Amino acid sequence: MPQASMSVRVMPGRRFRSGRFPAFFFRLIRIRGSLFGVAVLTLVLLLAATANVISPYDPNKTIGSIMQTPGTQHWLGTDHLGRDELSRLLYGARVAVLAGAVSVGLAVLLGVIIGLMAGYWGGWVDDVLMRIVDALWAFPTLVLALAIAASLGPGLSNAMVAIGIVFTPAFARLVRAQALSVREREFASAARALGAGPLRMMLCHIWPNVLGPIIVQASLMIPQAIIVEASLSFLGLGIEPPNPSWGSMLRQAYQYIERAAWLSLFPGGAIFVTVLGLNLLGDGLRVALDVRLRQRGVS
Amino acid sequence: MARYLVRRLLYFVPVIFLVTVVVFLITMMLPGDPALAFLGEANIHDKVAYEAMRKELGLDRPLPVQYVIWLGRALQGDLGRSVRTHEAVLDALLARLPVTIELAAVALLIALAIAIPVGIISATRPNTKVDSVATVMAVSGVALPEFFVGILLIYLFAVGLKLLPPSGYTPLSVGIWPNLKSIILPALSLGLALNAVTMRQVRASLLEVLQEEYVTVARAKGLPEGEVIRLHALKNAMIPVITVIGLQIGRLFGGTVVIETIFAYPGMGRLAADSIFFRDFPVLQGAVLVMALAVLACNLLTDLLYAYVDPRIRYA
Amino acid sequence: MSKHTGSNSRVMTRREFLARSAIATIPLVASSARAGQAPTPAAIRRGGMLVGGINWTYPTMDPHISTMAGLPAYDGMFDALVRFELADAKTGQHRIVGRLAESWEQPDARTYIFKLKRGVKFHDGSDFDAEVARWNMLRMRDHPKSARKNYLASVESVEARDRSTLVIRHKVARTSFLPVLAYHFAGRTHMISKAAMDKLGEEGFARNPVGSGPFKFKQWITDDRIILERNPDYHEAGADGKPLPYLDGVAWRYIPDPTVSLVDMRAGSLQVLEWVPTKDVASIKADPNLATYDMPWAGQVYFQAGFNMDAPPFNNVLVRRAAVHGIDREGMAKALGFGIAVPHYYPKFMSGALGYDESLPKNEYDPGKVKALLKEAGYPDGVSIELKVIAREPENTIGEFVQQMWTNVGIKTKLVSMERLSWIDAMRAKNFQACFWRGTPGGAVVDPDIQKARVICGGEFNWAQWCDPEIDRLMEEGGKTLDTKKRHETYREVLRLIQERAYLGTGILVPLVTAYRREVQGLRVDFWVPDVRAAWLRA
Repeated sequence: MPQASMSVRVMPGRRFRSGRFPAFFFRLIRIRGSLFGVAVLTLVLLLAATANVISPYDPNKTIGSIMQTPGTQHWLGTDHLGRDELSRLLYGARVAVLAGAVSVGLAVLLGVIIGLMAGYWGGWVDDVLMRIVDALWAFPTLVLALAIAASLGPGLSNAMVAIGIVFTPAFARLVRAQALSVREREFASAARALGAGPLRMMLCHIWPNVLGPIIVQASLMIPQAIIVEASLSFLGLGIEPPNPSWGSMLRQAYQYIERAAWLSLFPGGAIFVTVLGLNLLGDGLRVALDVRLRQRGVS
Repeated sequence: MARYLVRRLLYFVPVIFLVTVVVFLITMMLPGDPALAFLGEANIHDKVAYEAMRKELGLDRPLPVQYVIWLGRALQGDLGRSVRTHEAVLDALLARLPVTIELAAVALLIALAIAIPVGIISATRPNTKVDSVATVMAVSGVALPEFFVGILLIYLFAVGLKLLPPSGYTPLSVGIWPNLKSIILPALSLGLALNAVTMRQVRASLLEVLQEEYVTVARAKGLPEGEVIRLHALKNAMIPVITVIGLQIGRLFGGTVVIETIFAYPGMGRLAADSIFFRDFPVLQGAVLVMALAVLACNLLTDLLYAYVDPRIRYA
Repeated sequence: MSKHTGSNSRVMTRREFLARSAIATIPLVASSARAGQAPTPAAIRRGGMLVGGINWTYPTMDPHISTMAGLPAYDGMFDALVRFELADAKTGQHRIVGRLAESWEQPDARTYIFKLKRGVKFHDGSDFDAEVARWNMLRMRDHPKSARKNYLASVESVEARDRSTLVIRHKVARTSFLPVLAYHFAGRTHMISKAAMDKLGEEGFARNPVGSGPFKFKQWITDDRIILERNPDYHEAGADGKPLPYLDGVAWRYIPDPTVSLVDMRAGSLQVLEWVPTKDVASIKADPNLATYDMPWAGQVYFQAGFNMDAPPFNNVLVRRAAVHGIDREGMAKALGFGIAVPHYYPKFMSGALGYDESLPKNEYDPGKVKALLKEAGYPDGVSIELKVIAREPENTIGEFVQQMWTNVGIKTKLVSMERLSWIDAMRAKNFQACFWRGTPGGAVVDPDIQKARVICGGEFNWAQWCDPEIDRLMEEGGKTLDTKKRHETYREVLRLIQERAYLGTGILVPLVTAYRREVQGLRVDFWVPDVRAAWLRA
């Protein structure tokens, strides 16, 4: 599964103080593509949050006849069971946000814990943890997700756990690398000489450096989570029917591609735009957070 | 260099063991009784047959013992037999591996053929419309689920243009051209995804390199831009690109399940996925082992290549 | 008793029960299917490779052990004693015809004597005779992994009286033995070469099968395709006087995704598609390059519903009846049937089967009745249940439809979509409330005794594990009774009990459709399994 490279170099000790955020934000959206990304993210979040309010119909109820073309009663038509496509698309946004946020959130949580422990303590802790991480990393991705999802049982939450576990190694390595590099720095030994304990080291010195790369990586992996959920749906796992996710909608729709192409067009388009937007946003974040590049005037 | 290689190899050995342990844990967690699954519906009430099946599958022993037995045999090259088809696991893997390797190789070629030129164009014209279009096109490779990309390609090339066969793998023994025709569409699906990451990496690292001092010096010396890129910038820019490609290729071995299902390809991905659904644990173990070895081998090759190309590491 | 030659059969007497057949409304065999007509020798073109598509994968080449007995390659490589031949396309009447058995007789209720064809050789040169046939039948009955041993469980002894006479004695009177021997999903015993099994062993044979069929095994790429080549010494002759088959070989390709197999058909890289998904039948029929072979007698029941009778709420017959009355068959046909489905009211039975009687209560869709029954059962505000299904298409779509259908009449349904083995496990452990699967009642048309394993207590294919000793007794009796009229009464009683006690629910019947390209001539179907031994490719 393609993943972006993670090389971001950030100056030590940088923090996100409140005053800096607006400046950061405006710098970000000037980067080509990021504005689109931010717009997409905002739109998806908005739709997900208000889905139950703005949906014209119940997404799981058969309202009209099957496979109606888009029209006045059903703006995006009806699907192969006569359910309103627009409502399903809106609720699907919810699932996209959930699938992305929860699975990547889990991966970040696990990855940070493992990475901090491995990077900070080093030695045999590092060896053992990183070998476990590498074992997970070497495991064929979709097969691992499939196996975990099959073991846990059907449903979206189990799929999200599976994806989260599969994504963990990326974050673990990222955090570990940062933790290691901080550990080596002079200011770290100075801090330790002054009596700073491990927790303080982790929170005050490692964490701020790690935050940037994590945000970038997360923004690039959330769209992947959406795609993996679609693949899991294709293989018979993923969200439980009749609840809609863009991936499962696409999976059911592509069988009717000749008769009702719009059924594939809408969820496919939604996925496409969201993934594109989030990727561009991630690229922009990477640049915006990479001080060195900024100093050189390159974006 | 040799010491570096040995060190890396030693590092990988426990990782492989851990992979096999993870598979065993998975087989423990998967619901369902494999003995019942393989008996077939007609025999589920046959207690004698059931016990015999359990014995045949080795399920009558405790799990750690099962693992050790499997490990011992595997180290001697005996990966057991598929419980479903009775094919020797090694034979099944050897039959599938070339297919997946060819698929990965062609996908890589396609990805590189697009990513490098497009990446160069993008990096030399940053922030222009060309750059935007190129980036969007690159990202599009990962913006749709693979089964959908596969279906779209099938409809475009097999139904619309009637140029290529919709599905199925034609081995090289039948002929080079039929083989290539059968591999283009799935390789394209994979290659587009690979291209997405690679192109952006090419662009990013080339951009970075083009800012380096020695490039400025080369330009100041009056070297034409093409030569600047070719002789100085590209080589150094390729280092992170190689890393990225190496990582991706390894992942490719496990991520082909969906493509193989759509295109009816007898590859490793489908073998592994099917073995989960059929609870064919010997096959699952064998398939995952091979794929993990492939990933680690690719990582190792990448590291070596990286070490070779980057003189700073070579002499470390 | 009576002596039958190859082309006569008792199955004919069921004609009277097809009078009010529901299948008359389904468009039958297209005019393009010249399966019934004998080709002129001049028209036949020998040679060529046929490529067929299947949507399920073979586990083994050993036909006795294989759980997928109905796949075409087995019929290509192996012959059985008897087979089906379509007698009347309009009514779906079949007769039983001999292949390796030339004739048979039933001197008494328990005994069948088969006269075997002489001069038949296996692909490895060994002879087919009564000894080998005897070995095959006993293997099918006794092998621990035999997939359909329960269909031969009543066989007491098999004797090779001489080289070409096989005597089979049953433990009790057995009426339905011939249909069982012919039906793929019952006791059809594909004859394998004992010499080959002795030489190769079980595991060797499973990958290198040897039979006596029109095609020899060439290659099996697991989960991809099986390639067969022509057997030049086959014992049946074609219309041109030379041995069948006309083709040089046939390859059966496994294509996991039905949408893609359809594209393959259109593009010509497949010439025969074993089962066409319901939603695509119309578009296949509209394609001028393709033709279909419709098999309403081999229909599939969408939504064969089972209930767990050991736990609430379905341990209460009133709730079960409410659920059955809540099945909106018309709606289901409209939403899922794509114009070719018909409502199905009688679980496990089909029109044309003994015991089928449309005067029995249909348990039709009646929301008012559902409410009343639920109220009577003590659920005035409706009931909440879980419906477990295998996570694949079309089961998922059917499940989504049913979920709304039942919820609308007061049976609040939660759909639980599980992967296949987890589902099977849940069924076995009785860990479910309601479940459904796709059923095939075609066996009942062949002979209701074939349905036994699906309806008796502890029956291997009785997924929902419902149990009624009365039905067990009746099924037992029906298998022993010789008088057709009495059998009809017995099975009718079984159906009546099923309907009254609402053990099963059933939705719509969708006919099976095989598709083929127009250049394929002479395609036959053995009840529902494509048979290409007499097929040839037009230029």
